[in-house]
Amino acid sequence: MEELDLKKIQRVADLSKIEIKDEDELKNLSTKIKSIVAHSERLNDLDLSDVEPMTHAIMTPENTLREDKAGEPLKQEDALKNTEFTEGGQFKVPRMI
Amino acid sequence: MHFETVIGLEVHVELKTNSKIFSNAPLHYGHEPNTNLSVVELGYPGTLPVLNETAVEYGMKAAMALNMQIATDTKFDRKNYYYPDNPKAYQISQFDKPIGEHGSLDIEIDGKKKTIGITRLHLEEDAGKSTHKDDYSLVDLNRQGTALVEIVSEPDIRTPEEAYKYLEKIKSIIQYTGVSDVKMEEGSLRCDANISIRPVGQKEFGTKTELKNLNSFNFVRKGLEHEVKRQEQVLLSGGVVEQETRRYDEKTGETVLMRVKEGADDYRYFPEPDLMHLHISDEWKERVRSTIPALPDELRDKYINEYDLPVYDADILTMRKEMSDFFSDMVENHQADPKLASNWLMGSVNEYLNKNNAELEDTGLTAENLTGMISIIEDGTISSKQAKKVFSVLVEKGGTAKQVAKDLGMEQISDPAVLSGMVTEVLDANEQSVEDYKNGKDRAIGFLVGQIMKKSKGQANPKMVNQILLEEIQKR
Repeated sequence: MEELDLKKIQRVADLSKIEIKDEDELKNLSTKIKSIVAHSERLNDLDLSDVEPMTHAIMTPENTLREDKAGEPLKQEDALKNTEFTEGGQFKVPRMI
Repeated sequence: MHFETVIGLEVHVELKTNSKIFSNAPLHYGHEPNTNLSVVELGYPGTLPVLNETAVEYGMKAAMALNMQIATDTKFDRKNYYYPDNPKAYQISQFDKPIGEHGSLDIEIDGKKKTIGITRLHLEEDAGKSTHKDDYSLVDLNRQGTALVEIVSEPDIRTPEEAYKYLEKIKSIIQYTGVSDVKMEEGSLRCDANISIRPVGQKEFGTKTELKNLNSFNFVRKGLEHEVKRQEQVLLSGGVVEQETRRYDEKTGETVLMRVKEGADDYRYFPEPDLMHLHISDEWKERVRSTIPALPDELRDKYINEYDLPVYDADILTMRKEMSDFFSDMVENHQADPKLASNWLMGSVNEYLNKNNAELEDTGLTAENLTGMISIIEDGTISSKQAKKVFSVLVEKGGTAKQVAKDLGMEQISDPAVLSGMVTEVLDANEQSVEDYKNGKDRAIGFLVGQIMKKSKGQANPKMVNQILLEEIQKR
């Protein structure tokens, strides 16, 4: 049981790009995370059957939308200004594939 | 062992908005690289996305045309991935609350209707375009932030042919709604395919592979055909199909391993904190719904049932909205005969459009002048051979068919009084031939017709000449 938990935590760490030094640190983290999860599980005790689920943390009464109007774009030289690696108006990067 | 193929398609369609989905940067296909950008697309710190209202409406429109339910409350999510074609290192997309769900479309296979389910349609932003050189890559971010919808089918497709038909249908429906150009050659319609096989009778799906780089409907069909064979060989030789992404190679017609597939976890989706929740009221939905024109299926049924067109004609005429609009205009507003109108549109008109890579609106043709041309063919003013010349002028320069025929000096003489005069003259001058004909030499009539045609400089209506000639001979 504990091993599975450790695997899960290692997986979350990998996804979050967090490096875990050794088994001790992993176990330490596991203990802490378990107590946090246990704490938040208290939420399950609430009766929320009458509450509409939220789609977003901030439920604004009005939509925030832009009218579909095009403005003046950046000039190519400005778009490329923060790099010294360009070729033919494009960004030059290490080969991807 | 016999296998069954299971295919699901993911179709990406770029929306034809004036500005990007999250900024006011313009978008134009084929512009100089990195000239359609604002700081938002470049992912500069401190910039914030603001949602384009028209992009939302276009997404709704596409979803409605595909018979989907539209979400009432929806939101955007952040899909994290690290790749130079997107400077933010995440794509703003929709994860668990897509704008449209539970749709379907109908295709026809060997005359039988088949319904393909559509799981979802969601809004997202497109990424930039990269070109790979020997030891580096180049990135043009113009496409970054273009409004995009992803349309995911149910795994209802069973053959590469069905996949082809499904794509044709999606393309034509979206084209009718006017929300996208749906041009595969310009990348405004793109397709990835998920494919697996399983022994016939087995309930569980086999392991699927994802096919990418399918740059035409034909490549989709060929890529899938190749992948079915490959998976069969793997299974028959005792191997296991791995879940992976494969690229279709146009030159060899084979699929090549690209990478082992990421799971949804790897993208670390979470609600996009820079955008607000989006509420779509019933009133808004209805307003958008009212802008959807008659769709291809509806028109196809109408052409078959009301205009008695063959299924083949109805299918071709309803592939593009401009074509069916033109056809309907000819029939409904100018009383063209449906089958004759269809013959011209499917024949010479389509041939011209394909050859010149043109749209109907780029030509001199109007519903009025094409109908006019058909009617002067029908009433014998011009022959169908002459019509070809009239058509080539109309399509290039426009004008009315009558005037063009007149200008080309090809207007047929169909006035019975004028024709009778000519017939009488020719008969008077060729009494021997009249005698020959009466004595059973049928060939003599050909000679007489020839003389009349010569006299009229080829402009006499041959049908009427024949008729009047026979009448006049009987009288002698």
